[in-house]
Amino acid sequence: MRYGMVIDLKRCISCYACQVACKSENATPPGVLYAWAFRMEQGEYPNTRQVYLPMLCNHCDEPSCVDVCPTGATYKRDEDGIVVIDADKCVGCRACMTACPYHARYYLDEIRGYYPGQGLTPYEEAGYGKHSEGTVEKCNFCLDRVGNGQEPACVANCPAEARIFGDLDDPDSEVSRLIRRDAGFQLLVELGNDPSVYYLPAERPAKESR
Amino acid sequence: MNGRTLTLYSDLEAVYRPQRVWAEGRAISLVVAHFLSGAGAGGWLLGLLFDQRLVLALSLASVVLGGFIHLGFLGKPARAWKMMMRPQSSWISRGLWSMIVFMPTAALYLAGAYGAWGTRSAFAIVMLVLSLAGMAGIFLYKGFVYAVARAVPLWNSPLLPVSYIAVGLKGGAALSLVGFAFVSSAAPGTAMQTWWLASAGSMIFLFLLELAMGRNDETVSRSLSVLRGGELAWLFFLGVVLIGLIVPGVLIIVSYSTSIGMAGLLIAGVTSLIGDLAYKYSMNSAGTYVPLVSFSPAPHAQGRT
Repeated sequence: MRYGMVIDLKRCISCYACQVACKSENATPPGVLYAWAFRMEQGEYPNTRQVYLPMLCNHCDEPSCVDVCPTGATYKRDEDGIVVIDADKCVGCRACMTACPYHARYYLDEIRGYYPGQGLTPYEEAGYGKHSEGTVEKCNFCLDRVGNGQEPACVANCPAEARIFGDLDDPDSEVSRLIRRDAGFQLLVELGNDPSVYYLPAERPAKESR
Repeated sequence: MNGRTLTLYSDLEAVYRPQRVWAEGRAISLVVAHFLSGAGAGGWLLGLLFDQRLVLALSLASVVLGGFIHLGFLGKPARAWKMMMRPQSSWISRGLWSMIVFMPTAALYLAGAYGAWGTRSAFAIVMLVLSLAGMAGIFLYKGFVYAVARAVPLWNSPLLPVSYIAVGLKGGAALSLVGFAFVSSAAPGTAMQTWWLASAGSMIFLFLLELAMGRNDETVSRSLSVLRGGELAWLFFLGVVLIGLIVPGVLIIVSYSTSIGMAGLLIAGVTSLIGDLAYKYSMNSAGTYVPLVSFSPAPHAQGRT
């Protein structure tokens, strides 16, 4: 099994619900964004448009972050292909951050609250317990949720149903079918990491709905 | 929102995202550590070639100091020993093993050189061979630890490890000049100056070759433009070119025809070392991630220039 995600750029409405849902689910401190969005303008005035590319850890099949990790803290799970970090092994050398082309990793220098000078809120106090200062963090496809048979938070909370989660190894899964049907593409495929996150192009002929 | 978070958000919107994790904040200790251990490895080789105990001692001290400073960069320094666990794939792991082999064996060889058991005994020879193996590992890992980062095209070059070996040798020659400056009875002769010139020449040649090879890569061009005319230009031209190459280069060339004295040797050595440190920092800071998508952005979304 190889878990993967498809992000339909035609359906995505740039609402940032994925980012907020991720922050809420994982209680990430300020400056840590397991899910984020690359946003840029394309073209020249007056023919411009905004490109919006939701990003997260690509859980690569050939993850460059795993090879460079000197402690084995970052590893790919054999059972489902999810790339995870063992915070107890991470020494905070940040080699994985230089190796990752997707800006998926964050070094947690110190845990700060969202309200400077006011201490941590009860929510922050409860949520920050799972974070470890001096280590690197990233998306783990909401491992706990997936283990309980749920979808990752960013998928479950996408109001446009632009995110689909499933097994890339299963040719009959929805993710595999969509990638085949709508010419799903990976980012930076030339680097050889073989990401497990696919994007469906924003501009494509209308086809039958999912 | 604090400055770091604002910088993060700015980076996330940039097409050419600057590499900051090994360049800013506490990462300066990583740069200093790599510089010190590289110069130390070079100094060890030259100290052996020129049979200079003081140079050997300086070199060993440089590597040891570099190792300790490196710990200051880690988020969890108490777990540093865990970095030995992945030599099969990680150059950091290989580098740590090299340091672990080098430091005690070099110290024991040096103790022999200072009279404890001499340098000709079987034990001393074993220590010498092991220290040379550790030294070679330190030379190699320093470049490869950057070169394996496919996400940063400026570093991801087959020339970078060779280039960093040249920088290490130049640093070693500079460390040797500093050592010679403190041993007034020892005259370095022209061979040491030739070592410096050869390693500095190699460093320049390899950098220019990297420039030529990367000129068709937009990300490498962006990185180099930061060095040529961007925010790092002052450091590159003042620190690397003027202080690190021209000042010591002129002194060393002059020293072929006339004595520059111990003060001249010291100035040449120290300025060369400052230049090497500036070079390491410049290369780390100029690293830029490959763009997520390849299309022409609007001008204001270009990121760092």
